[in-house]
Amino acid sequence: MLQTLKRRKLPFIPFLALATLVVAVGTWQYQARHPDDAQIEQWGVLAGVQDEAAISALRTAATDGSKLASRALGQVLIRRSDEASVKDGQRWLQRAAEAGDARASLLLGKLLLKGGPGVNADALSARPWLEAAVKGGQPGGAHYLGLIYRQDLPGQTRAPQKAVYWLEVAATAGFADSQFLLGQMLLSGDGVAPDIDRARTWFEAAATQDHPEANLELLMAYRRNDLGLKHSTEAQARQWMEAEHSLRHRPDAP
Amino acid sequence: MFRGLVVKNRLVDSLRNASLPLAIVVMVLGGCGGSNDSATPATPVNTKSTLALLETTDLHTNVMSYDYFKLAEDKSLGFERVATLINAARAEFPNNLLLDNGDTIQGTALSDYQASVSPVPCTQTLAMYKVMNLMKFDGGGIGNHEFNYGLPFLNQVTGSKFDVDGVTNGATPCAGPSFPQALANVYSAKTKAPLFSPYQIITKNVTATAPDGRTVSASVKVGIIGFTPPTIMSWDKRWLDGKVYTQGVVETATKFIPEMRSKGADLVVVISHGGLDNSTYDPTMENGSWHLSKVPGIDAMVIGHSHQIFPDAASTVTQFSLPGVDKTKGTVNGVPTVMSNYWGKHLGVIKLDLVYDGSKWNVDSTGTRVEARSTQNADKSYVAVEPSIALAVATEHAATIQYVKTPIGTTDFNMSTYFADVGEVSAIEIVNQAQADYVSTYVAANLPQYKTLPVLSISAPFKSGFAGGNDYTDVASGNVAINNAADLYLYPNTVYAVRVQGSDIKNWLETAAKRFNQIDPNLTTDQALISTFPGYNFDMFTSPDLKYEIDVTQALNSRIKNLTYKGVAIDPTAYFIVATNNYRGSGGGNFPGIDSTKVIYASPDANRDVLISYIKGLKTLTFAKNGSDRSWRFTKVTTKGRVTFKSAPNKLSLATTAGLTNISSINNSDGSANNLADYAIDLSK
Repeated sequence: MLQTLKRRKLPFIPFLALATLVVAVGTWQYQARHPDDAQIEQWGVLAGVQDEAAISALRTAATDGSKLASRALGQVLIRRSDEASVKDGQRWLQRAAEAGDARASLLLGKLLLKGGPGVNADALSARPWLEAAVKGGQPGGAHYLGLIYRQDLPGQTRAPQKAVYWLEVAATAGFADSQFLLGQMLLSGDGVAPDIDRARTWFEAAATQDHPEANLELLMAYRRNDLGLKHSTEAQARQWMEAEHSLRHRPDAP
Repeated sequence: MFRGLVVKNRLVDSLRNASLPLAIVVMVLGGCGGSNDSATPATPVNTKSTLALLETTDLHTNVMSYDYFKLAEDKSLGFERVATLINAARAEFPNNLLLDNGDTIQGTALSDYQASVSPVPCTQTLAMYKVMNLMKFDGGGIGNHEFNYGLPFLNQVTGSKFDVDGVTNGATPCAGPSFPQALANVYSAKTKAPLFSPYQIITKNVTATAPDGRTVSASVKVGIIGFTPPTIMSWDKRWLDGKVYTQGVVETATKFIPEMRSKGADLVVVISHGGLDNSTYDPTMENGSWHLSKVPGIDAMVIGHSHQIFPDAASTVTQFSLPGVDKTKGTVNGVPTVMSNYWGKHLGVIKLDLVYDGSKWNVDSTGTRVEARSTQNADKSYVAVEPSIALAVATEHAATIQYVKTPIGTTDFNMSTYFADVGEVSAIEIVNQAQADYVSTYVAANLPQYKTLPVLSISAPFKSGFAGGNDYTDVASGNVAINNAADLYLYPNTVYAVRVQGSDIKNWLETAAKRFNQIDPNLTTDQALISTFPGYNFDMFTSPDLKYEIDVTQALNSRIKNLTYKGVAIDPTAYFIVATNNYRGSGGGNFPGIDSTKVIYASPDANRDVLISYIKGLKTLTFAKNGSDRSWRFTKVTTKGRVTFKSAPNKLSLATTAGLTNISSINNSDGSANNLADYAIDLSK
């Protein structure tokens, strides 16, 4: 039986080798042309440390129509300090966003809101991209919509109720910055009825995530017996540690 | 078109190259290697042993039970006490492996002293590692805070040889831990190789019981693999950007654990510096330990970073109530897991029963026990110190105390907040000067687009009597030491710079003016000036360029009068940079328009540290230059009754000396037990 198998197999070996080679080369070509998401993400990581080969690979994949590559490339380019790169990055983000990549919409909205080399800060242009991001499943966009509605801007009067609405969307999705800001608006009754208990709940949610300002808010509240928190030596000592420590632990912005 | 493949292959090659030194380490640690040697050849099938994994985490250089800012003992923390728990656990479990989870070398004045003030030389071991060597740690991971002082420092004190831009290596590594360290998910951008050895295989000689009841010696190979939060890339961006990159913890574990097994690891122990988070996995997520636990092949996890205790049946912490987490038994998705709090308050213990199957050791999970042991006894007292620890770091400890006490400058005036509510700025102007100086320097060097904008600074009296007469900043004239800086700048904040318009400044001050009740000039009875609005939100400028009045007879949001910049009414559309702190810059206090959209610089430096270095630079503080520039005063109004406020008793002379001649003392005690007295202010003067 074993003998038979061996005899049968032998003539096939060159063929199998050739077939394997053909498949392998084909696969390589296919993978280079159609990299999978994990590959693009890895290029994104390496592009982040300015690895030229990775940036070039992303550019090729983005040119070939990969939304993910287009976003990853844009994300790397907008972090650079020269106008040409940032504008190039903006274009790639826009391309991905227009193709329906919600994460790219969010990045583009943030870029337009904050501005950058060669890109003027323009909250009203940012708004539709942020709305698209939220619709596409990136609730982080709601945080920035909240920030926009908190401001008086040329062409927009401050709308604290809308700010509260959007901040709550982002806070509910778990973003610590949004939880902290929403807590602030609840505390001062800005766009919403004042509600110390809800404010504290949001501060606590943010503090759990090592949000430095939320931890500081709770610390100051402990010192003042405020927000329904009672002055206890142990709780205060713990809160001092958290406030100090979380300064180097800031949760990522949405 | 094949560029991507080149990248991928280069990565693989460099990982291969990186594993060469690792292989040497493995051979040295593991003897001859080879999976069949994991127990001595004589070890019979079904031989049993017990191995305890002991964990410290987030020690943060709390070597001694001591608070350097209070200059006082604090028995609730310190490695010298957890060392006593280590000794006890070792007596209980003679077969043990002592592991540290990371966040080890940063966090106290001692660590700052050895990193920045008097940097530890290459030939000397960092105090923290010195005592860990003394306690014979078997292995360690790397936390996020290990990166806080930058890569060259980390390279030096861990005795590493990083091949990373900006790090230079001598011929031989510097003094460091005598135990192996592992970190698998941080890579050098230059070489694409892991920064540290991703894993280590430790051969542990153990006593065991053969099936016939004989006590035999055997050896167990324990593979340790370390992970740090990928979020180090944003937290320590200034040190790490472009130099290293991270990989997701799950991908990394999936890659290396089979390799560890193939190199003979009987057990795989994950040292993960991260808590538990079951939200959708992402390679950059901060707390990856929940997802890590699902990677096949892990026998136990020692985790950290969250400063929490696990297991703890009574815990109300969200992360310990996630699906798959048993906070009583101490398992995460079935993997025995321990987190031992922080600052040496607890020791983690995972007891594993092992059985030898003829080729390797396996865990008999029925014998697994997990606990976090506290240094605090049931009667609230604390375990005794292990005396050898203090002896080992006596020099470093004394030097740190000396450093904290050393004068950083002198002042010719008393800096206090007793009368800050009524316009006295002796403890505030120096903070504003330090912040403005720091931000101006940064903007000039790094933000050329803003270099023409005026830089102002704003701060508040953080200690303003809420807790009584002792709750005020009070630094006597004479020497100013490091620990006085905590009195001048109470809270842990970092400097932020916001770009705002004149109209924003007006609104900012209107909000700050909520500190005052609305005063009715016609009331003949006493009126309290100060509202419940917190003192820490009473922001004020102290600049000769900016002047304003606060009219307390007006309703909220219409109190700021005669706001001028350089002598002319402020232009509401003109731009300014204002130095402040992270709390305000992030929207704390809900000041209108002041939030992250206005931030042009979120510095990593603490306001308190900025203040310390500013005072060091000035050396001599004078009332004329650093304590008397009042930007604001109350709008003059004659009131029929008294306008009153509280401060500590017998301090009137401070107000008078500072030029506030319209203050008078009503009594020396307000009748409460809070060491407060009543004062009056004559608003007509």
